[in-house]
Amino acid sequence: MFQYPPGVSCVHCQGEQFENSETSGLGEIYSYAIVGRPFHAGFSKAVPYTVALVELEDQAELRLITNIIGLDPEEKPYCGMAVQVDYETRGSITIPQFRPRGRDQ
Amino acid sequence: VGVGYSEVSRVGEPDPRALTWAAGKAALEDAGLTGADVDGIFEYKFGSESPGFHEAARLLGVPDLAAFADIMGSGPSGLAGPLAAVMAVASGACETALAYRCITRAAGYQGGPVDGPLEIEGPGQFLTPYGFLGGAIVNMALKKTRWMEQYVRPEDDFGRIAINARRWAALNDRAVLKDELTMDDNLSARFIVDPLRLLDCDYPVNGAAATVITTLERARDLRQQPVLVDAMAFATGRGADWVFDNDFLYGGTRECAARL
Repeated sequence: MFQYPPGVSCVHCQGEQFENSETSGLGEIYSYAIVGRPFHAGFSKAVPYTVALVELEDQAELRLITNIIGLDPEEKPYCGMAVQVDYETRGSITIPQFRPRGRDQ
Repeated sequence: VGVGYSEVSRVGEPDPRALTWAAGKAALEDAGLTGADVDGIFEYKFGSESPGFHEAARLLGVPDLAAFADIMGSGPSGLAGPLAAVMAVASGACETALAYRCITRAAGYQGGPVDGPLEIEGPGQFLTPYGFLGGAIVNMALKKTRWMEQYVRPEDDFGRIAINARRWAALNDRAVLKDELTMDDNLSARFIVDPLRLLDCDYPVNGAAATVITTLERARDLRQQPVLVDAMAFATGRGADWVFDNDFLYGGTRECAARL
């Protein structure tokens, strides 16, 4: 079983033995919202951007908060849209974002 | 058995202590009590600017507290204070409890970008890097999207909530916004986070409200006809969380209804 965000115990079986593991990186948009105005100065050049809950194929209800990137200019995301992971490196961290599945970078 | 309110205002920065004191004193007077009769205090708060039970007890001249708590915004709701007071009185932990909430505009997000840390730890590391900001705003927008697409419902469903909330507010002398809202008003209000619109959001005000909870036996001797609490219920549902909960749309509300 997977869980996200990571915790200190398994919320499914109460076990302590777990580790970081790879998932398929494939999922569907569960929900999305478009932020048109920055809430934080660090995002003032990023708007508009799309925040989404993506549910991974690996397990029911396994959802991440992420961004949807790589949409065409007039393209709207929708619940159920098939997406795949893409990683963005920002300074010392790497964050998983998602783009429409099968679409090149 | 008593209720009290401070002045409610849309502008200015009144002292939260003055608001809390005014509401608490009015609630006690309404019941025919003073701070000397109080042995329990329960507060519900969003921000640190709201005075806690210590300060409320001092301001109102409460001699000693047998049961007390400041319940944070992660608590069940703005009703968490009164319901904690009901539990404390029902259990015998205290006899007469004051429950209050004080909120000022300083507690809310005021619009416009803010500066903040460029790196973040803890639970926020799974939210903030994606621009999940502005408190609950993005989450509420995600819930609105999911509702409309899962049930194939128009945005009017949310407009009706605001229209009716305003309609009931107009019946309240203390309400700060009383003008009737139309569906057009709702559907043309600007986006805060698309699809969440301005009129889907609550409105920042300054004010405090307080109520006095006591036993039926004690209430019989007091000034007002008491309101009896017949039943109350909380629920979280499975995988309790604001964002990652399993039951994203309902968040335990159906379990709460069934329990009640």
